[in-house]
Amino acid sequence: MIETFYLAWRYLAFHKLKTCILVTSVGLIVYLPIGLRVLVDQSSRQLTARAQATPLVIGAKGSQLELVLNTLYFRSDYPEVQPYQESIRVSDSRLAIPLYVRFHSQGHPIVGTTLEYFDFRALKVRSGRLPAVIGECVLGARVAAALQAQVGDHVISSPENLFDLAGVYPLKMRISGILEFSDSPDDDAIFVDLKTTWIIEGLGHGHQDLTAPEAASGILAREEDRIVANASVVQYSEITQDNMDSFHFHGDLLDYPITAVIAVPHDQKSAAILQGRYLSSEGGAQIVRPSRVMEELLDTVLTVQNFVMAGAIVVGMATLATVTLVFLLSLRLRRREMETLFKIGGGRLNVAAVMASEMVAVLVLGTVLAGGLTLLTSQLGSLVIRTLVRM
Amino acid sequence: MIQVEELEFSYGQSDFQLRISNLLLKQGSKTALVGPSGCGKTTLLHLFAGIILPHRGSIRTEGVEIHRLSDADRRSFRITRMGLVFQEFELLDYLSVLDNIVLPYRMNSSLVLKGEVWSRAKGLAEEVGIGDKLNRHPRELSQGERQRVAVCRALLTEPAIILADEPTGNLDPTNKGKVLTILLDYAEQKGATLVTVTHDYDLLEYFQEIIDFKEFYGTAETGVRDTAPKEAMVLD
Amino acid sequence: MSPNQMKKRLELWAALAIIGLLAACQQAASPEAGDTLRQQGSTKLQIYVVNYPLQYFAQRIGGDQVRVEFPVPSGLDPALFSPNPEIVSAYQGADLILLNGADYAEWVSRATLPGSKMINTSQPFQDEYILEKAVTHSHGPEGDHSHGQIAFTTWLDFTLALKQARQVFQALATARPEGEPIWRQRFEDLERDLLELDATLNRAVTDTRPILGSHPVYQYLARRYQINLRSVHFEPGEYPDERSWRELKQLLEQHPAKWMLWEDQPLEKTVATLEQLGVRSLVFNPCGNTPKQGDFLDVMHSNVNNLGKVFGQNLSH
Repeated sequence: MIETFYLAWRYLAFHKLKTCILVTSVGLIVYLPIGLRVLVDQSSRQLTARAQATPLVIGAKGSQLELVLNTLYFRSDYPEVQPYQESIRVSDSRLAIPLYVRFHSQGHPIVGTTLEYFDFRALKVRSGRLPAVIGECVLGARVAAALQAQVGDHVISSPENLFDLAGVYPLKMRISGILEFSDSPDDDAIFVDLKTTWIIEGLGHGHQDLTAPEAASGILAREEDRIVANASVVQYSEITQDNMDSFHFHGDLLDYPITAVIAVPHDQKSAAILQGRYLSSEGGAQIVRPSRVMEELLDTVLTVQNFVMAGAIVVGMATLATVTLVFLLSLRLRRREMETLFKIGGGRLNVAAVMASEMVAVLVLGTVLAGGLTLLTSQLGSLVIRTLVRM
Repeated sequence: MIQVEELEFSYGQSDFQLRISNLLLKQGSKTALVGPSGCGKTTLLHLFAGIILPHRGSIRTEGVEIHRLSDADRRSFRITRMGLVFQEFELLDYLSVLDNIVLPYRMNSSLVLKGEVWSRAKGLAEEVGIGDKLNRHPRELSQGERQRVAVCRALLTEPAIILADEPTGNLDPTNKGKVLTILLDYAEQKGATLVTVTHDYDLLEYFQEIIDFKEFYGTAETGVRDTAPKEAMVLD
Repeated sequence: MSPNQMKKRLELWAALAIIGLLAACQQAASPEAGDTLRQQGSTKLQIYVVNYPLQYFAQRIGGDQVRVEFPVPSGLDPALFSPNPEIVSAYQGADLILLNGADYAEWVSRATLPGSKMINTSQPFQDEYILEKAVTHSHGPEGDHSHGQIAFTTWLDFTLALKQARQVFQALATARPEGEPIWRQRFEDLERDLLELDATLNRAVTDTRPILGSHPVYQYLARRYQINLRSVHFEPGEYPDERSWRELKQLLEQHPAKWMLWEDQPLEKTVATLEQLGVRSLVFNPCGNTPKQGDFLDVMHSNVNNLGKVFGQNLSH
């Protein structure tokens, strides 16, 4: 048997191109339905797990899917904002975690939130610590790896667009810590205090002390208790220990924007009461159960999967027919070889085995290739899904 | 030794007929089969090898009535006791020279591929002058070199009978001489029976016996001339 | 001793030993509430505060069952203290963070603290905050904006201090319900002390004679006890400049005060100059940070006693 496989191996190695094509074809035929299944299963498990771990989300009225994807997966398209007041309103007798997911740094989402988020998601710090003051950030494990960043380094928020000169501007943030790998979208995010995102947006800022001599050139007018300054007054683009005290917010913080509130009711009863409050209200907010939204999404995915699977099967059968034809043609081309083997006294089984082992080897290698691709899919699938969802 | 008695053979679809009443090739003899194309020389070799079976009569090879063996036994007998050399060399493109030489040991469980076989194969290759080309593939060799590989394959099993069908048919004069010498020397050293089909009358001087096939074949229309025992064919 | 006697003695010791063993097992098996709290106390409630009065209230009420941290160095005004991130990180680890409210400790607005653990002790009386004159400035395209100043020394109104203490008690009881009975008792003790201070001060302030404050930190004191008080911006450790003296003189023309309340002992030179202007000095320490001697009540009694002198009363405790 070993000798037979040796001969088969030699044949395949000699006809490299043909072997590659055949092995790849068989591999893909086997992999496509399995890989698709693995990807879909993984994605449903992931999406479902994350959604089930997030009881309720409150956001501005609009697309529920957009709200859920932005809140759970930090998707780039952020929903309509709502006032921070909504978080305070919800927080009576239940855990309410505000989120502001709008900005990015080098493609990685910046998530403005509160400390309760880390306990809620059971996120642990691998090195350093959680942000303690505005202007600090903690990186998800994959962000830190991608940026090759360490505690003490800095990240800079990206402007929303090149022409938005008076609005969102780059804020340099010090990395206070790096989170442990959690195999969740949290690995791909940069976490900051909610107030830091408001500073990025320009709702809060720090600047020179207008009463100090250094700011004199920026003062337009000074009355009793009123100072009018021009735009040349230096606004800080980095929050340091030296200038932190100058940072302040204007207006009422309760009106400041957030994209969502994650509500974690203590029990079913308070969950029902909370949902009832929003369902009956005429206001601009909605309450959403992420698990239900994800179920609907997965139903759609399943439908698409079925279509794709059907297509894959048809293509697979066509490819299988082609591969079989190639094998048959190969046998015909090797007829002379079979005659020689017979003439020199090759055993009937041996001769048959040499011919068949080419096909068996291709099938085995193709299956191994399919297995490898499936393994790769299971390892990278979650990353692919998160990237696709975030896009 | 090969002994034929009352042999009759024909191909089902054609008119061709082969009839040999009596033929004896002694052990260690060197015989050339000559005759026009299509007269059945290759057919006779195949009958000797048990590749095809006669309709009537008997063929006794090395004392074994080969036509009475099962297909599996015939193959085993052929691969262990006979060495076949073909006009077109019939090497496997995808195997190296060394792998081509040891091929019989991979194709039948009657033979076991072990250490001493490899040594003998390399030794044979050295003897015939291709010892430095063991890792090459047939398409990297000249015609003469390819036939020498085929000869090594045939001789590796140390056969008692060598059946060579036009072994020098595709070779230039120099290589013809080389290949023929290899076969004749082996037969001489090992006392093997050599039966060669050839069209090349220049080579006949190297053979002890020459069988002219014109008397053994015919068609349904002409019949076969040989109807009586040929004393000339009973060779000492 | 006869063998019989010895045997009886051994039996007695054995019985006592068994009884003792059983009693110990019983004790271990069913601990009382106090034991539970003591066991809990081995994991004491970690409390971080932003000023000394809250530290006092928390320690007075919580006793052994709490560990109260107040990381502001002595000598610094906690209202102006700005902790480094490492100290903020320590606050993050607390079970409770007690805030004064009224914009006290502005650093809190720039820090990342767990909202669920933060207690604004003055939340029940937010509508009673005293708003100081706002400072307005503008820069850039946003136009005017104000930085309104809320007066934050709320505890100098002892009724508000009591409300803050009650918030502390309720926070402790919510965090560790099993400690509520003991803590209630201690809170009621504190309540009596604060009410006594309030009553004493109410009795002491008999009229609306003008009084000065060296710094605008006596707003709640003035409002509660109807003290006719206006403030300047003098520092105890600095001799005021010419402009400051000029402003004081102008103020004295409208507000002819004979006494000035100081947060801490002023310089002798300052006292002397004030006396030339007919103003005597006394210390009314807001006690925002840990006192050098005594505790919060000691300091307040001393304050009340000093204030009594203004109205010609001996209120020695």
